[in-house]
Amino acid sequence: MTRFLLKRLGLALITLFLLSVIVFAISTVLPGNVGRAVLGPFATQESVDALNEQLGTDRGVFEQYVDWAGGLLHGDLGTSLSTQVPAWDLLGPALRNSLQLAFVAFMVCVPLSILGGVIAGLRYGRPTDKGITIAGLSFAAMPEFVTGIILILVFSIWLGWLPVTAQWEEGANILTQVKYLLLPAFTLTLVLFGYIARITRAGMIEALDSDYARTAYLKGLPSSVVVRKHVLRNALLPTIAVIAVQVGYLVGGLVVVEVLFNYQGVGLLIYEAAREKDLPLLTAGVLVVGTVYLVVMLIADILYAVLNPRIRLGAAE
Amino acid sequence: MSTVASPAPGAAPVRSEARTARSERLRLLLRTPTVMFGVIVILFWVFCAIFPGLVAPYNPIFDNQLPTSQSPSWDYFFGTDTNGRDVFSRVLAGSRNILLIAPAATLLGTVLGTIIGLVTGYYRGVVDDVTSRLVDAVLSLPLIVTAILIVTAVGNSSRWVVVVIIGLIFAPVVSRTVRAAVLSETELDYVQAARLRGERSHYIMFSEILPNVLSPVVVEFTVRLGYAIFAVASLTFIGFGVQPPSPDWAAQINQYWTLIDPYWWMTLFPALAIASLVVSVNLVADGIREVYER
Repeated sequence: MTRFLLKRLGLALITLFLLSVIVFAISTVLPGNVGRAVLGPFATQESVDALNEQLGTDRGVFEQYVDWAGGLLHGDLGTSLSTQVPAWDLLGPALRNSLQLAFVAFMVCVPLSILGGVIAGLRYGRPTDKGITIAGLSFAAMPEFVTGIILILVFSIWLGWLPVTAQWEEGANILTQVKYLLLPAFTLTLVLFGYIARITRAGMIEALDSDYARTAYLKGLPSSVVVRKHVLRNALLPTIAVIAVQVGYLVGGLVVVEVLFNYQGVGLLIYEAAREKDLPLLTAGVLVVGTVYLVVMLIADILYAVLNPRIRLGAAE
Repeated sequence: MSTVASPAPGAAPVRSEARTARSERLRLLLRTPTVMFGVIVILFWVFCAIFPGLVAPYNPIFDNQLPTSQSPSWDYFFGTDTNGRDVFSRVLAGSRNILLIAPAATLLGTVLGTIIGLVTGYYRGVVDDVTSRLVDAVLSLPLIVTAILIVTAVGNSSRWVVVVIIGLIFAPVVSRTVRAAVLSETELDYVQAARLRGERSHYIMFSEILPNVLSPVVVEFTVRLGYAIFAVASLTFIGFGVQPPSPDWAAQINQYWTLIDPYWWMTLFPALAIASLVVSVNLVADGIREVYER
């Protein structure tokens, strides 16, 4: 178990290092001339040179990377160009907002999707199963802005039940905040429902078809007990892995939903930084998103190992 | 196909067996109602993309031909927009960009990914370890975030830049699937036999292994195509994709969604068009996956 954890941690650190190299390569090496890329083709050569000197992008690539990565290790993510504020001062609150939205979306999404998957699995091959599967597949395929726009039209403009944006007034209480977050959360739920329900359904079908389920039925247990005590436990294990992958998606893939609902999270910050060609802030934002994803995946790996006795007892290593 | 080079006695029956399997798969696919529905919708949009003038009742491009901001009626099925253009005609003409960019990007990603997967799965060792970690690192970023970063760094979002970006991001994902398939193939006798015959590595990879891992490649291509449409539309919607003069669903939504109350028709109909296309592609992809993986 300890060896498994150490190995996972080591791999995660290597991946994190490579991620920083890739992000650095795209944001600093790819433009060729960062000052020119930020200021555009009509800026004077002097102002381009001045910006390059200010950003330090007139130095060698290796030196720049070491300097930047060294800053990262000290918690310095760079300075935003457009606001001249340390990037973390903007990213910190935005990250908290994104996590809040992701949390609400999860509270809505996970129970619904697991329920959908369990029902589909129990009704395998019948119309209910087909309906859930096709609906899940269709919603998962649709871009968030398409489902979001349809939800906004129906629930806020036509029915008037929920607000159009996710921008509540200063000092709104938690219930009001949740009300503002419901539509974006539902948009994300529709995208995620298909994936989670699909894996749950597959797990259910496999577990229902297993020898231990048959034994349980044959020894005369009522089917509710078989499902609850024997099938669900095994069926839900792969679901945990999928849910973890989706957390990663939630934290980073929020860009479109946050832009659509004008919600001040990391996604909207990345979008605005890109619009204003604020490369340092954009780079920092992208790195934060990747790091959050890697951390979540690491936690999921550990959780999976703890829940799965085959890994916990070291047999699978 | 010359049979002179490989006089193996079993060669001919194997080939016809493969053909039977292929026609059997096709028959199964055409008998699935969801797949047929998807195929019809996709063909409809492809037709609209090739002959935009044939189906649109009004000119989809020029401003101020019609009264502005009319709600849907018998004259204008989907209403008109604030520039006095017929929304119905613009929706019919709006499939072209996405139907060019998404398949091109998917093809690029699939070809690159297949090559990477073949090489890493065949050689393993250090090349494989390093590539796997790089793939992990790329996959820790959501596609849309990576795309925004690259578009901003390059300072250009023309059609081909979007194709290359999405293709490059897809390559690692495809390579992972292909690599897994190659790993199980290299254990098999025919690969060992080819090695013992002294065949060159690239011959073994591309002529011996590749034909046997084509099923996952085909499945991966169709699944990726759905994601590519998703990605292209999302990028265009937030203003980082192609901004064409010609009609484009996501660009229309980008332009009009702030006016959704009360001008809902300018946004809703292009949104439904995107929905119909992505859902259809995914229904077909799902059908193909089921047929290939049975």
